[in-house]
Amino acid sequence: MSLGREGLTETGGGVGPHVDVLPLSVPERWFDDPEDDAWAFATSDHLGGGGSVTLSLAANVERCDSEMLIRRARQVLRVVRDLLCEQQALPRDTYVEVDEESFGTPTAPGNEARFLLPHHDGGHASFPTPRAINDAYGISKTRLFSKTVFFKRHSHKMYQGFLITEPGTFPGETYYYSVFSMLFDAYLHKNGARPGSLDQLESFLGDNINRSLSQAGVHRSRYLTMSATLGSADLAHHILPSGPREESEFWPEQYAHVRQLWSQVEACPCGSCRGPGGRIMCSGMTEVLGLTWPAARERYERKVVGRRGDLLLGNNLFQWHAAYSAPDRRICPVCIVSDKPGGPAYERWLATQWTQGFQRAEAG
Amino acid sequence: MKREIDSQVSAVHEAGHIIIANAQDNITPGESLWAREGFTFTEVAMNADWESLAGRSLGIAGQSAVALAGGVAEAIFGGGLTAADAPIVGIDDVIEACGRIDYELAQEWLGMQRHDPDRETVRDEAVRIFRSLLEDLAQPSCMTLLGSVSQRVERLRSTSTGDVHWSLTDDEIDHVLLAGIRGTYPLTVTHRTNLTAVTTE
Repeated sequence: MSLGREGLTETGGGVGPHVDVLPLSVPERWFDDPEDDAWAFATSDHLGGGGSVTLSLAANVERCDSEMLIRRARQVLRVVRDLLCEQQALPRDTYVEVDEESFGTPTAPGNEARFLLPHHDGGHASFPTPRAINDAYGISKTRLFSKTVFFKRHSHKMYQGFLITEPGTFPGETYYYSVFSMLFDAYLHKNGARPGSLDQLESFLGDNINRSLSQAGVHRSRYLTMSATLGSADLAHHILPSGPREESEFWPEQYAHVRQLWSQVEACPCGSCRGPGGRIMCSGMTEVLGLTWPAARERYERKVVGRRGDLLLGNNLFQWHAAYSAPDRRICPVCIVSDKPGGPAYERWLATQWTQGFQRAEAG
Repeated sequence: MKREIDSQVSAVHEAGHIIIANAQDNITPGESLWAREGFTFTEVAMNADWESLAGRSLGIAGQSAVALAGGVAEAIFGGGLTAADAPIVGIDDVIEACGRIDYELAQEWLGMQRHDPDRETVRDEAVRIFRSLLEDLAQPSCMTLLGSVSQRVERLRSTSTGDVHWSLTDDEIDHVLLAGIRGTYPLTVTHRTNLTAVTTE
């Protein structure tokens, strides 16, 4: 049996600081005969190993309407979630969350596409955290960043994904970034030496989260940003623009409370980033990694071009994902979530993530 | 808040924000700021229950109206728009009058009602709210209020090169409440009743 796929476009290698993306097809017959489930074991293994997976849900996608594709995605997610529980220590209280199909993709004024900056889905309640035993600040008690304004639900999204139901005017691109690789390099950039142990890297993350949480009343961001996660002390780097799109503006209250933002959006270190959001990203990456945003993308980014009927899945806590897409692209977001990100089962899963992730980052 | 405007226009723009903020049922305005960097800003808080669909919709409606009101005031004083012009206002007029910072703030709030709402729907809602605001703020009583508030703020600004904080006087708030401004600009096209209908299994 062939698990591979033809035609999926990717960039970046399987080694180094990239997230490894595995393209797979779910055989048509599986939807009628669930015995043929080698793809599911491969998916679970790859997600458990820190990678992302792109699953093609239909051999002849023209014969499937969106409703059928979403039904298939739900069926696939249930099996993947069960295998992750059995094989990868995913807590049993996790469940599959299937959202509504989107209506399109808002763009910034004057733009016919948008670059969605790296983020974690449901980031107000979903972001990487240290284990409770290495948490000096009480972050692990709630693993919550903000709660006043959020899109839909408070669930802690451990794996995120989406089904492409309509690619739009041009094929959308999804990008993945490894939290472990970038955190490791940010530690090195700040300290001039590699972290000597996993505990040191976890403590570094805890310090960075606490810095942003303790200043939340000033920067007013609802999500923990990539630059904040990687240790920037500049509050301009703790803010996401509307969207959060590269081309977009920041909120008035953020300009008013973080005054350096007003001047920082006028230019960025590389001089080529489009829009206020991109320019602050460039400034943040330069601060925490010594790389401009385009250079950081070159080093860490893994790209997938998704087609209609593709289900993209990845670790939502230890990967960031970004996207470039047309305004008429439609997707159906799907996640594997927990309502209680804590306790022994969650800590066991988290320990596995940290141990394996640290080893990969060290080797990378 | 708008990046590319002079001080006289800034005063009118911010007066529009603060007058509408004081008129909205579900918004609690705080102080306004004329910052040393040159921008203006009015702090607002929602007094709506974000966890309930009805409360969330009212909060979003209030925030969106306040976000667009600066551009409306500017369009009346700088662009000479009147209430009669409301039906012909289009999305380009809205974005130009409001500026990208305020327009994208309204877009962000309106997007909160649906996951990844389509661009045209959000634009339609923004235009509809802008037109309603224009009908209200272009009334003679509101124009008088906009003029007096903006002139007071300009005078305050001329006394300092640092931050200037201000808010409406009790007398001005009384005038806002009697000026015939709507207490809410209800959402129509971006409002969905199944907002939190997420399938879990």
